[in-house]
Amino acid sequence: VTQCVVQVVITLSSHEGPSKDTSENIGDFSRRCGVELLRVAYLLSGDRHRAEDLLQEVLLAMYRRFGDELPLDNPRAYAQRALVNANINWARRATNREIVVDRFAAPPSDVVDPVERDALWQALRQLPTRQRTVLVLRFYADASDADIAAALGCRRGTVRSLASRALATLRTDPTISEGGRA
Amino acid sequence: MSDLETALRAMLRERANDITTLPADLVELRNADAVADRPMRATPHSRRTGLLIAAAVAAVLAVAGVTLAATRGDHRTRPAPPVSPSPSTVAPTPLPPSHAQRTISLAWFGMARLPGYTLLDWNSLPGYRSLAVHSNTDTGRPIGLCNGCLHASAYIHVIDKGRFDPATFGVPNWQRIPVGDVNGYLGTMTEYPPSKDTPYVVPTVAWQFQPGRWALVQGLTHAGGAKAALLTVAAAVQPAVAVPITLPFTLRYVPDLPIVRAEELLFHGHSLRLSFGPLSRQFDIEVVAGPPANPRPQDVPGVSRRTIDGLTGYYDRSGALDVAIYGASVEIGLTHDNGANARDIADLDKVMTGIRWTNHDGRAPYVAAERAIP
Repeated sequence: VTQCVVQVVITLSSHEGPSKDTSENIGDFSRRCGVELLRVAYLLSGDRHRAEDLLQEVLLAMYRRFGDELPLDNPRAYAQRALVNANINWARRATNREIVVDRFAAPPSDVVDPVERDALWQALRQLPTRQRTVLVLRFYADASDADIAAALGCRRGTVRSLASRALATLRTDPTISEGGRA
Repeated sequence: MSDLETALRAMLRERANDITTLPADLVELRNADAVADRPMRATPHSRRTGLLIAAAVAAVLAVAGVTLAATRGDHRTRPAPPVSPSPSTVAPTPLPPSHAQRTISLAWFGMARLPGYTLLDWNSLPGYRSLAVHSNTDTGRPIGLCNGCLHASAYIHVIDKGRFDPATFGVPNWQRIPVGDVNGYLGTMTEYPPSKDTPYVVPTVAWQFQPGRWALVQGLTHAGGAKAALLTVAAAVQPAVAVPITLPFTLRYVPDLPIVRAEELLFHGHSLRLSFGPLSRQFDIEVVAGPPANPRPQDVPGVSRRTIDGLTGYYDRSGALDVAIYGASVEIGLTHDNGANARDIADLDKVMTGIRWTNHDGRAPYVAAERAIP
């Protein structure tokens, strides 16, 4: 898996700095960062298929907006922010369309897909979208509150409040035992 | 970090590893026609209406783009609101002795005019203060993963006495170069502060401005790391000058927590934030220039209204207080990592009782944080 990591060592041999930054081809960008962005989309949405849709939407939109070359200082951050927006919009649309009329008991554990057994993951997926987004960006993407606030379009105090509420919800979830595992 | 947060971090990393490859049929962006005409991928979740959603997302991105553009434009053109006085116009002010709870400086260092640059972000942390600056003509990408928000060409660090050992970084062996009227050094070192997670080596100008006290300018982009750019920025730094961080109010009571960080953002609007205490119990003061971002939460359940030194404030059981003052809004929060408890609420009540506005009508100057905080 290609790591979407930019690691530049700037030499001072000529005191001219590194070679000039150039815009990146969107195809190269999607190959370089696609897996990592898909991971973020997966954690944000809690659903692999939706994550693929979200990433596709974002890449298409970036292509339509910028064309072949991305004139962005940090296209990965741009795409990540767009994923956050797209996921929130998707959840909003889904909320408008879908009404839960009943809840079904969880199936016996012996028929549950192993990847679905993690109670903390299940609890995270049940959080409101903005709360889940804050936790994913803070604990997976290691984003600062300022960055999260910028991505969500809110104040940092709101980020803190969303995180507190989300963590409080997880702490009181009866399916999560000490240490966060069922 | 709590057990839950540790478990959450581990779980997210583990879950992320569920994704190891991109699906072969995920859109391949090879030519414009193919992309423009291509129908949306069919997936088990295909509940969308193709172009309508694509258009919606494009609109969202367009708005995001406009926001980004406006933000970038902001920090180049918008004069800084009066959250803190302009460093270049304030004379050095002697500060009172540090309070026992102070772990950071509550004063920025001085900056002379720096034409062609925009000041982005001040930070005061234990052991040093820093300022991120952006060259207005710099289109380069800052090194490292910055999550896309801070477009800094260079960082300035002014380090507390005895907290920087030049020999550790090989500074004495660097090229000697004058910085103002003192001898400085030009070379490369890892980004300051040192971290095993950020092994980036960047061009650096270092100089000792007082015995045992060092200042650094580090370039993060091609343009910002050029010798001339480093020296231009370094020449504007006044590391021995203290510019007080200021607040539009005084407090008679604060929780018994150390001040661990001060940050003044000059982009995405203009805000000053003081953070007290560890993550497990935080007390935060934030002053944001301009009116409140959100409508008054009068109808939100759990939000209470209270008159605070003559002004109307709103607070809730999550430990957050919002007050609109002249030209700014103030948010004060007191929370544990699992939300506010009874002690937090009681402490917040004491804080609210002890607030005295000093600039409620825009006529009085802000007061130095050193004197505003007991």
